[in-house]
Amino acid sequence: MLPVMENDNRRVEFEALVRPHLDGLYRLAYRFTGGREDAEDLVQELMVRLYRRHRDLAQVDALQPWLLRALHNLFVDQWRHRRRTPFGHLYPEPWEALFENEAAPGTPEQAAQAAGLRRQVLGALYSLGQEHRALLVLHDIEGRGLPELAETLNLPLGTLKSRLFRARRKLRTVLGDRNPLTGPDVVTSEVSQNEL
Amino acid sequence: MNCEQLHRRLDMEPLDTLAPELREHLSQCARCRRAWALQREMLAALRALPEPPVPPGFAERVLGSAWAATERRHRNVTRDWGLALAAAVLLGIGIGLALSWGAGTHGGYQLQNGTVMVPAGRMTVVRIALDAAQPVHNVAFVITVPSGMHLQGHPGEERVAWNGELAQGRNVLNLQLIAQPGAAGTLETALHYAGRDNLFKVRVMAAGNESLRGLVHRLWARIGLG
Repeated sequence: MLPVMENDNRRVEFEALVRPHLDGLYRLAYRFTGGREDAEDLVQELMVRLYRRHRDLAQVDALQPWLLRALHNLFVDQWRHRRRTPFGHLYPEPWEALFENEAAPGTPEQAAQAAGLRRQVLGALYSLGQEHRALLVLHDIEGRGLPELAETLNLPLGTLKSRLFRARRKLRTVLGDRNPLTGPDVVTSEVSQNEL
Repeated sequence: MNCEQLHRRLDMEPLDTLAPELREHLSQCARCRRAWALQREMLAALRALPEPPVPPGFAERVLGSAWAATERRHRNVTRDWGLALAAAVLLGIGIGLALSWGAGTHGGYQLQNGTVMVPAGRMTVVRIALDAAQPVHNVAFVITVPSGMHLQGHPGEERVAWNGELAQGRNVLNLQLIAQPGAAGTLETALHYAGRDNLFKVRVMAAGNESLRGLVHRLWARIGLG
């Protein structure tokens, strides 16, 4: 009887610790992986690992940034090994599904242009490696500053700066290869000198 | 400031406010203005991405998986104490349907009494979870699909085989299955590693336009029960 009670208590304690953070972890995992099922798998794996160390978890002071770092590290260090099969990467759930219920802004032409750019950017983002993609998600999508990320991820600020530099450049390169906006004769996105 | 220097700065600096030297170069260089505009649009598009909605039941599923995985591990540990020598070569790979702890729809298919129900005539992703206690190299994978079904990109092939590896933890095979109406049978996932074999079988049935009752009747007839 005792082991069962002990197990129940352990579950209750663990759930009380992590449940308030699960939705945030899912959203971040979705942005890291680009798909609902992969996001769920990633958070699930994190929970399986953490539950085995639930006593350590109870000692953590600031759990939210600690969990963010754990999820980031799991994604960057381990997720890359997950897809070495002929089938693993062929069916990412498109982000476009998230926009289905969103009211399109402006004219139909503007909405189509915005959707096109969004597709290009997402395609470019998910062509990047995990490290670069994760940093762009945290910094450019979620708006977290580099000093905050350096502290949360326990990485030197200089490392993050150079990583961000490389990530943005790669993204721009990939996007430049695909995006019609960069064509020599297309000036729709070119700013006028008045904007400067 | 030349173009390369400006591009380096663009990759580092916030684009909302421009330093005077950047501003000056941009005012004179159309190519860099295009690059700046692209960068600005790119970052705006990233910032405008919506917040992904959390699917219903998500918390219960991930917590449930934590309980289940730990209990499974405890059972394995108990067993392995009695098989200490064998444990050295048992790499402990478990195979099952991913997300199979709750009945319902997953990736376009439904689980009904242990049978995967897939819609006929269109691609459905059936997710097979491979839980490895430790990294496993040189794994031979063989997927065998039932008659009347095939994997996307492998039409007419009953078996698809390849060599690969498993990372520690959960590895997921996303099998893109296409089934003809009325097709039914057993989908097999076989692994061969370190002199050992591991086989997972799951029944799969295609649901077409006909009723589920009709399909069940036909499946029973096919296997000689009806």
